[in-house]
Amino acid sequence: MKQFLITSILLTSLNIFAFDSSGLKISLAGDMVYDQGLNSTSTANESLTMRGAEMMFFAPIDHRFDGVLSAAAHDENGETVFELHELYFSSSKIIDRSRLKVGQFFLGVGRLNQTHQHDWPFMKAPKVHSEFFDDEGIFDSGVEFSHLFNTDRFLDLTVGITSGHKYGHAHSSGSKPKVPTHYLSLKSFTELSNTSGIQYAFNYLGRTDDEGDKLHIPGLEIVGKWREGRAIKYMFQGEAWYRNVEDISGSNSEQVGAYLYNQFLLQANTYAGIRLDGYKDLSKKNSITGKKQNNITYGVTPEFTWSSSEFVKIRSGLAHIFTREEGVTTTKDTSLNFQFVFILGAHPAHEF
Amino acid sequence: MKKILLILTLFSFVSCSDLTGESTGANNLGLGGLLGNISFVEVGSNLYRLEGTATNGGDTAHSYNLDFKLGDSDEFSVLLFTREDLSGGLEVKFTRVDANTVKAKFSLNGTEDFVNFESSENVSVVIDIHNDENDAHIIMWDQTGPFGDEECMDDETCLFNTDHFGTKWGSHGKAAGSFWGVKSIKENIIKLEGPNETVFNH
Repeated sequence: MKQFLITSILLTSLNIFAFDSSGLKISLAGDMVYDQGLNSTSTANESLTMRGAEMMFFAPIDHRFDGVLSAAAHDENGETVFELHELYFSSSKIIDRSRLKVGQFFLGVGRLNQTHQHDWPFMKAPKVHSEFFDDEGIFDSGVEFSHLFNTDRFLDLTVGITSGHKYGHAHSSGSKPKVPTHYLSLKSFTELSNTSGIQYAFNYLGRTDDEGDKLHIPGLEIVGKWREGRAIKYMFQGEAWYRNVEDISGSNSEQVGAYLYNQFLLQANTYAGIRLDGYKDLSKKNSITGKKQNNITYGVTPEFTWSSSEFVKIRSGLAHIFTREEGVTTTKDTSLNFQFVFILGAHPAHEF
Repeated sequence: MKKILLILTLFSFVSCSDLTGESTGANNLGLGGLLGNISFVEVGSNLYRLEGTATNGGDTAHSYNLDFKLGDSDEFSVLLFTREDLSGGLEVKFTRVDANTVKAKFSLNGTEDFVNFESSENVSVVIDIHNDENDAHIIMWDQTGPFGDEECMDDETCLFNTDHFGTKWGSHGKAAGSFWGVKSIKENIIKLEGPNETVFNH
């Protein structure tokens, strides 16, 4: 935590005189959560947790390139861990209708994976996202290229290749994989009216680690928005993912999961939303009978959000998550959740 | 293209019982024997696969409680997060050094390490394996505790921890599967429990 504060102060003071002429923008985001367990088996930690404190610096580097640096301090089991999230330069001015990104960044695949956690439309990661892409998202170092095709239909293709030395939660520098992390995202958009539209995409991520285990994650995403003036009157967002891990012996482990979130504008600055999650381990077998064990995990999460402005959000909600296996409910977790998010300084533009 | 068709096929063939998690009889073990109070199937000479499969295809974290006798020339091995044939996982092999000391040797994906710890003839340990990290995080405690956090290095709180700077651990990868088993003569096994919730939570 000390590192985070010293770095913030140093970078801010060094750049303060370059503020106006270089277009440097600074954004500091704070994300606090509190979970109150409502049943005896809830895993809620019942403590106001500083889930994340993020600083982001972004600016044009010159007439061709832009630069981004973001770092965050996260709570990890009561300890504040400081880590670099993104450090990259990018350009949309070198190749027509294209964007190039080089450095370390959240991989351009999936809806949630490309969005910073404090900007999510809900408090917690859906199970499929936290299992396949870690609690916030997968970031890595490499190159990403996006191209908007010159067609009547909106068609945007993003491809990327990154080091793949690590994937997910890691306490080490990882190992060189046999095949680095590679991914693509093919997006399209359908305009329904001047104030509404739906964006959808096919995504794929793959990697073969140093042990020879092959990871494949294809998925679909969809987002629809209906605006009334500047407010989003109605929004839905969903993702569905499938994961296959094939190890060197040829055996496969498969899981599938999805979420669908609906959000309605109640009155000025107040939204109600509900998210439904589902998740299955398709390859779970009983170790004695050798038969597949039928299992499913469900989550139902209604939430209320009040936004004083785009810089402040206060959320409250309920989360009910349960797992059933072979006719028996094996886990049940019901909790009352609160989130407080604020942003100081500039706020980067949102995607659709 | 094959994967897209598979996803769409999966959604179209999901039945109501799949969505409700109904019983298919997979967990009906019938009248079988118990080893250390847990159902088992013999897969080799003194090699037993035990009841209990790790969740999420093995991309998860669990703890395992082990109580067993270890005489002078005895060996006891536990195999965690393995394939169905008990290969590809973490192996922890216990042997006796002297009347009061036991050696535990940890092996995963070619990385090996060991620790000596105090124990009488009856050994009682609990092992956490966090196989949902880039490199499996393995911690072992005496079952009596206390159960220190991941910073523990010596026998103050835990007996073994792969999460230290300057050790050979850190690029060993994950264990391959979701099954577990033991290699031991039956008479030495007192009590086995797992897969349980982890002792240490990140």
